[in-house]
This record gives sequence, C-alpha cells and structure tokens, in this order.
Amino acid sequence: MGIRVEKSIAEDLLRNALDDKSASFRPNQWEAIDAVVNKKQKLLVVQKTGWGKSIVYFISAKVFREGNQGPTIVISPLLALMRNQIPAAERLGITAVTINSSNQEEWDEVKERIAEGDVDVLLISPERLSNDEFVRDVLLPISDNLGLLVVDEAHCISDWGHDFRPDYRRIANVLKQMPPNMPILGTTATANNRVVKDVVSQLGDIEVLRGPLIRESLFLQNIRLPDQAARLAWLSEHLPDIPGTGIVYTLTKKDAEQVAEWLNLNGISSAAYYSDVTHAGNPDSSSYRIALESMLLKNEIKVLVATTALGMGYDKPDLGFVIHYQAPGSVVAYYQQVGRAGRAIESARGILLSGREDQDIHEHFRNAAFPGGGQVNQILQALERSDGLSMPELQRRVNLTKGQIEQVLKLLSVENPAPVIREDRKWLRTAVDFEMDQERINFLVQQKTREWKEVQEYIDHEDCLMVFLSNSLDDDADTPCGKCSRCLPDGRMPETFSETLGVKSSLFLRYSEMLLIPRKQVPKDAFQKYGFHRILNRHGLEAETGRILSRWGDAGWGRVVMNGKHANHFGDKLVDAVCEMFEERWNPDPRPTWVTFVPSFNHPALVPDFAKRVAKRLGLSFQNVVTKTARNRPQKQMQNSFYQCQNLDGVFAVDSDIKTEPVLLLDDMVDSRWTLTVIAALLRSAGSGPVYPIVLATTAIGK
Amino acid sequence: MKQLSQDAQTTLLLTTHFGDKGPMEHGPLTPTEWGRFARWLTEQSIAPGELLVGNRRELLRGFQDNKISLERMETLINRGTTLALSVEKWSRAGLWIITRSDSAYPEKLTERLNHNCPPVLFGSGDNNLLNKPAIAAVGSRDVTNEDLKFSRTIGGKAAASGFAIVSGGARGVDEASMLGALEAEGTAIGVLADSLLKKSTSRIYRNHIQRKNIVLISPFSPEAGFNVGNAMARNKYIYCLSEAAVVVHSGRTGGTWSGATENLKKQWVPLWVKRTSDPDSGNNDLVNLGGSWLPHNIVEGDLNSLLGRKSTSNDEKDVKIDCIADQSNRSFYEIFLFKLKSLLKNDSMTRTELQDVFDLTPKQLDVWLRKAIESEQIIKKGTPVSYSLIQKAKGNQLAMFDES
Repeated sequence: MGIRVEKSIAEDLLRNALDDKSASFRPNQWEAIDAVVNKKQKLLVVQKTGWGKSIVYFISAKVFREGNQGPTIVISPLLALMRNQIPAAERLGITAVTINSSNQEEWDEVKERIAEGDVDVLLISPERLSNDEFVRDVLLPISDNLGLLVVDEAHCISDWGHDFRPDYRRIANVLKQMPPNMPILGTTATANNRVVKDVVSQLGDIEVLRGPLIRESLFLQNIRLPDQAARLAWLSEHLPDIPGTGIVYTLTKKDAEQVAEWLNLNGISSAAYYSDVTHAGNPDSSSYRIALESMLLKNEIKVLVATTALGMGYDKPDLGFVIHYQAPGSVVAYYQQVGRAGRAIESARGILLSGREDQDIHEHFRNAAFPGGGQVNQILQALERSDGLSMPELQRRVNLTKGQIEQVLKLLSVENPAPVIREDRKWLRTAVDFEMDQERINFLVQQKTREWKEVQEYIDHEDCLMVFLSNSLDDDADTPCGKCSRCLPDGRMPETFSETLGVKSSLFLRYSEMLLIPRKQVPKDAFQKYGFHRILNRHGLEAETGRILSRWGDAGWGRVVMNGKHANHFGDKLVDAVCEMFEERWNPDPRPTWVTFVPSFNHPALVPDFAKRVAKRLGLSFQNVVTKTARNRPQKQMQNSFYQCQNLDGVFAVDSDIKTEPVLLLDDMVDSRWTLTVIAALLRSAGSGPVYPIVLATTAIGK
Repeated sequence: MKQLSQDAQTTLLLTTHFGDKGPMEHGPLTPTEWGRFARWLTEQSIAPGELLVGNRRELLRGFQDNKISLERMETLINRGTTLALSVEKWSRAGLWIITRSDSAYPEKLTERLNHNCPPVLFGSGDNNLLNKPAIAAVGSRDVTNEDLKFSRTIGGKAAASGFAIVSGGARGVDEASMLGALEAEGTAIGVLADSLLKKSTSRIYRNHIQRKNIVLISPFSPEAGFNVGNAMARNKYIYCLSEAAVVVHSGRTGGTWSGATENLKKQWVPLWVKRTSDPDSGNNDLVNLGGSWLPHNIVEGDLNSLLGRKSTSNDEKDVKIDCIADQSNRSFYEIFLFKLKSLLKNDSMTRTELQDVFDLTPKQLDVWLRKAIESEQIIKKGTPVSYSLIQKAKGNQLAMFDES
C-alpha cells in the first residue's frame, strides 16, 4: 500500500538504467507511469511502435519491486517481442523472464526465481493465459502481490480491431474482474477511435493516453502484378536496389517457402519464417525462429520472407523495407506491418504488391475463421453425453479435423460463461445453456469483408497514401506526406522487370513440385477389415516419399490440372511435366519398372488414361491391379484421420499376382494422403516392391 | 459476465483460498474472523469495497485485533490478479458467487449461524432453491443397498411433500437422496466440501442444474480438493439450510456423526434417525443424545410431520434466547421479533396460536405485533386474522448483523 514515485526519482531510474545523465522521458511516458504507479489506474496507451511503451512498464515494474511488490506481468502475442525485450530489460537493470510453450523445461526454474523475488518482469503469451492448466500450475502460485499487469496489442480486445484473436476475449474477461487496487496498462499502436471506444466500454473505468501514430520516414507505394511469376521477377530485379535489409510478407507458409527459395536462387540471401518453420540444423521451430530473427537483426540476410507470424513486436530500428508479396487483409494490419520499417532511419520503403490469388486466399481465411453451427453442435452433443473427453476421445466421436475441433473449443471456451471448460486434459460440458452467437459471427465475417474492400481502395487510392492510412487510424495528420508514390511520382520504384527474369520465374513456378510424405501410423481401430498394424513402416507397408506436381488452381501447373479435371482429360503437357519432373529432378532409386493408379467410380477413365500415357513415355509397363470394390462416401467429407481411414477400410483390393518390382502409383489429387497410404500398404502386402506415389495437385491450402 | 461488486471483491480477497497454495504465512480470514472484522466495518460505517479504492491505512485506523494484523490484510488484499483469474474461471464455468450482503444469500444461514455463517458462497444452479423448505438427508458414503434405497425413497417423499432435499452431495446417502428427489421431479440442494466446479459439469447433475432443479453450493473455493476439515465444517450448513434432518446411517465417529451431534448440541433442527440393525452404527447413540427415531411409517405419511415435533430437550427455547441475548444486548422486543420471524418462516399463524406460543399478556402481544407490522416485518391479513412474514430482499451489508 502506498507505493508512490516522484517524477524526478523515476527519471533518475531511467538515467541510471540508460547510463545517460541527460536522458529524459518522451512525451506521455511519465504521465503513463504516474497513472499506473501513483494512481493505480487502468490505462490504455495508444502510441506508435517505437514510442517506448517498454520504458513505461519497465520503470513501473522497478518501482513496484522496490516497494516490495511482486513482478509485473506482460501479456504479448508474439514470442519475437519477448525475445527482444529480455536483453532490452537487462540493459535497464531489470530482470525479465518468459514462460511460454517453447521453454517448458525452464518453467520450474523460472517459478522458483519468481518465488524467491528474483524477477521483475514476466512475459507470457495470450495463449498461455487462456490455458487453464498453465494458469493453475504456473500463474496462480505467483499471482498474489503482482505489481502491474500489461496487455500488449490491446486492440485485439475489440471485435472492431483488425486482428481477431479469441484469447483476447478471455483476457478482457479477466481484466473485468480485476479489483480497483490493481493497475492495468494496455498498449497498442493500431487502434482507431471505434476500437478505443469499444475497449473502454468493455473494461469500464479506463483512461486513454493517445499520441500520433504516423511514421514520417516511410515511402509508400502500391503495385498491382496479378501473376506470381511477375511478382517474383519484380522482387529479384528490384530488391538489390533497396538499401538495408527487410521483410517480405506472404499470406501462406507455402508462399513464404517459394519466395525465399526464388530469391536465394537469384543471389538474394533470404529465409522463410512462419509459425512452425523448421530447419535441419535446429532442434525445434522456436529455436530456428530465434535464429532467423537474429539473422535479420544483424543484417546477415537481406530478406526474411515471413507470414504474419513475424510481426507485432519485432523490434528492428533500422528495417529498410517491408514489401508485401500479397495484399494483407486490412488496412490497419497493413499499417502495423509496414510500420515496422524506418523507425530509426531517415527513409524506408513500404511497397504493397498485390496479386490475383489474394482474393481467394482471403476468402478461404474468412470462411475458415469461424466454425459452422453443425460443427459446434456435434462437439457439444458428444461432450453432453460424457463426464469429460480428451482430444483423442473427441476425435473418434465427431467427424471433424483436429484443427476444427480445436477451433470450436477455443471459440467456445473463451466465452463467459462458456459451454465448455478444460480440466485435467479433458474437455467438460459446463451446466451453461448455450446458443451460438451467430449475429456476432456474421458481424465479424462482414467486418473482414469490409476491411478487404478497404484494402482494395487503398491499393487504387490516387491521393496521398499516408493520409489514407492515417485516416483509417483516426490520426489527425491530413497533410500529404510528400514522399509516397502518389505525392512524389519520381521517387517511385519502377513497376517493370526484365523479360528474361519473367521467363525464368515462370519456369521456376512450373518446377516447384512438392514432396509427398506418406502417412506412417494409422489411428487405432480404424482399419478393422484390413487389420493394418498401427505402425506401417515397422511391417514394410509404408509408401516411399513421392511428389506433388502443383497446388490446385495455382500458378505453375495448378491451373492446368484444374482445367484438365473439369474437362475430364489431362493433356499431354501434363504428361510432359510429370515425366520431366520424374527424369530430371527426382530419379528415384531403386527405379520403378511399372505404373499403376488409384481407381475411381466417378471418373473411371481420367486417371488410368493419364497413367497409361505416363508409363508409355517413361518406357514402363502399365498394370491395372487395384480395384475399387465398394462405394464409399467422398473422402473430402471425412474430416479427421479416424474417419478418413474408416471410410477407406475394405474399399480397395489389389490383385494377388503382381510384379515384385518398384512401382509408380498415380492419382490426380491429394489432400489427407490416406488413399495413397492405404493402396501402397495393399500393394506391399500383395508383394510389390517400393511404392512411389505421384499426384498432379494438392488441394490442401497454404500448407 | 457479471462483474463482482467492490464489496464482494473485498470479501473474497480477505476470506477465500484461491488455488492450491498450501499453507500461507498470512492466510485468509476464517468466517468468525471475517465476522468480527465486518462488524467493526459496520460500526465505522465503512463499506468493504472502500478498502480497495480509499486510503487503507487511514480507513483501518483504530482497528485492533490480535489475529488480524494490518500486514495480513494488506497481503490478502493485494491478491487482485489471483482474484481476477479465479473469478473469471469460475464464472466461465457457469458458477456464481454470493456474499453475506447479497440479497440472494440464504436467510436461514444468517439467522441460525449469525456471524459464523460463511462469508462467501459459490454455487451452480438456481439459488432461489436455497430458501425452499428442505429436509436434510445425511449418512455415510458406504452404506448398504437397503439404506441407499431408503435414501432414494426419502428423496422422492420429500419431493412429494413439497420439500427440497439438502445433502452433502457426496456418494452414498447424499447422492441417492438427491437423485431420489430429482427423479420425483422435486428439487435438491447439495452443500459440497470440494470440487464444486467439477461436480457441476458431471452428467448426473448437469441437466438438472440447467433445468433449475438442483443447486450445488460450497463455502470453499470451487476447485478445492477433498479435505476432512472442510467436509466437517460444511456439515453445519446442511442442517442450517433444512427444516428437519434425517440420519440414514451414522458411524460413531466421522462426518455424519460429528454433524449430527453438532446439530443436537446447537438445536438447529429436529433430528430424525432411521432404525437400523447394524450393531456398529451410531444411530442408537444419536437417539440417546436427543435425536428421535424416525417413524416406521414415514414413507406412507407426510414429511411435514417431521417439522412439528421438537426433539426431547426442554430447555431449547432458553438456550436459543440465551444465545441471542448473549451475542448482543437485545431488547425483549428484539428477542420477541426474532422468535416471531422464525415461527412465521414457513407458514402464517393466527393470533391465538401466537398467544399460545408466546405466553404473553394479550395486550403486550398486541403492542409488539403492531410494532412488527409498522416496521414492515410482518403483515396481518384475512379472516380469521393471521400473521405472516413479509418476504423482502435483504438490504445491504448492515442487515446481516441486524436481525430485527
């Protein structure tokens, strides 16, 4: 009780920490400290990135600690921020630690250090806060006597915010229960008036401190280039001319991989970065991501090609450019990403390339963002009939993917009251009446559609681009920036690229086949008729790694495959493509000597006709040895592994007398990989040699 | 989600064990300690919530208590984040929280336990059920099938006679009697010593909670695990929420025994004991200590008959009045009013009936009845004239110390 700090003392702390006798607070920093420390207020700070919010909570944390209170907790959605903040805190003489999913082995030690009073600031992710086991085992034992609670990216609390994160609904509900003697600091760099108003109305009794959001060093430019090949060519031609290092944002992981590979082929050092990116030299994704972030920080690579997994909180003052390979979903999200550039340098480029596929990807994102009522009911009914179900138990009771089940449970479990709750690794149905808030979901989906329309307006905007961004954030600046491509056409980057590069990038896309990694383990009890052992490779029944020629409907071969499927005929161009890939870039060893295919009742001739031509071109024998013996439901309606396998059980048969040499197994489309896995297992059981699957396209988006 | 009032927040901060923290240097206040502190606050006209916003040192000036140091209170009050995380979770699970000062807090508890009643009740289901006339059914977890069957029958019988069943919500007699009531489309109150959150999600109770047929409550944190002390401590609330209690089977030690003997000592409600052939049972001893044998034909009769007959002790009245007089220097009128209100709780009474009970001069009775009507405690109606209680919501924090 009664912890107070005078401005001069706080400033001394700052000066000591920075070892700079003339240091002083930036505008509003002291006001924020005064509000949370002296007035125990709940405060929302809206300031641009780089304003120095961490100074506010680090100094406040220090004051609370010196007054004998426990640590300050900072909730922030991105690991990148945490990694940057720990050394930053150290420089200020503050001990910061993080507990997150990637450092589980350190939790006990960290908890002990907190208990011993060794920690000033604890950084956690919103996902941790909404994990009841984590709260019970880690947070509650240390949550008495906390100094301050900081919520980063507080705009996520509002449905009007551009960034829908269910975990923030939980955070808001926790904040609502915070008694008035506990200060809270919310921070955001991207909240317009509507978002601020909504956050205030939800949390009640909260003060707002707002500063200018616009960054003056940014050169903005938008270029429409519908073809991926064109955008790749543009990047490889112009990136070397942009000073410094930076980020290229893509919408999907696959695009991140592809763009990074292309840039490296063209001598521009780059790496792909996304939520579960892995690399042979690193034990896990999280340590690899740390390594990637640090490579960019130290300018060891020119470009990090990243999905939004790299974003909020990544703190590199001299980032020279942020280029979007595909258009982002909202103007505010765009501002947030492009605003990473040019924080502590005179000028930086923010270039938005937009392509033909953007629309479809965003539509897919929108449709996948919320579960349908049917999915919700399936899950609730399964839980109602039980005293709690674990995740694997649920998967066997509902025909939904693990991802869908997780999404539904997440969405339901952040409500308050909620129809489901997690206790001891099981999901329980609470005694709460529940009806889907369809209105809210419609609102959120429409919101995303509106935001996407606004992005189109931004791309085609004819006046100052910075003023457009500024208006969407309700920032006051309405004077043209004088440097964007509309204000100063002479300062633009060229929109063209050389024809040679264009041809090269088209070929690159056509050669961008993917590995097809077959399944090796089958779900328990899924194959009652076939009786497969659960671990296929232990019995020599697994398929070899195969190839996928393209992504369905995509640039490269994807569009050709789509047209062929619709015309019920795959042309000779695709035969050439498959054979060229097989001979020149794959060359499996031992080499297959014969070709067979996956039969279908609906398109009985399409695949065998194609397989026959491929066999002929490669000089292999064509054998029709797999038969479909029973009609089953369309595999695409089966949503999780258990149902997908069950739907295939006993559906195919393989002739008993087949060649014992290695074989190519052809199909047109792949999604879950189970059909290929099952037929390969049947072929191996019947005595074939190794089975190499080839498919023309994958329908799995973004993977 | 409903936000807790600041008064409720303070009460929880000072009295609740959050999570599983093991022994604390400055543990939460016990119900009695909270009772003392709350009374002091009332005397100073300080609402508990003020401690969260005002200058605590200033507000608490003059508060002296050997057990409740300012340091202890400060430590407890600073558990704000713990409170928020816990309350958010409990409310997410559909649980509610009421404190003594809430209108939903059951009057039976404040009346019978005064400042020993639990400062906070956690619950799931319809809290209106807590004020329903109820029969307590108590007994061991492990009993014979016959006793289980009997418990179920008593549950059904209670439902048919318009009573709720109140029990400890454990396996055995508790569960069987509650399910018996629910199956007969009656209602039940489960007073749990542990795991409220989990029990409220269990298949056997979940639907009944949603249909408002059952309320589960606990004076302990909804996530508290089993603990003998808590199980013993909650027995008194089972009796105090009932009008009469039926002991199906008791040992000579253990939870059922200690609860039943406590009830006999405190004379909260008539105690009826089922006859048993089990020589190891404590049933016989309970009757020797003042309980009554449950009539053989009770399953054919009306459970209302269990309310009328008082247990054997003659000096019950004196004990009760002594106890009131002892606690606060009440006037005779206040004692009269206390007694009157408990008489009228379930039914109205005529003037003659009251005259018989109170044994006052008619004039004195009239004066006091009029006073009670004027202060809006009771109303008079109909012919023949009868008196009944005014059912009103309880007011603020002050009301709990002021039964008049």
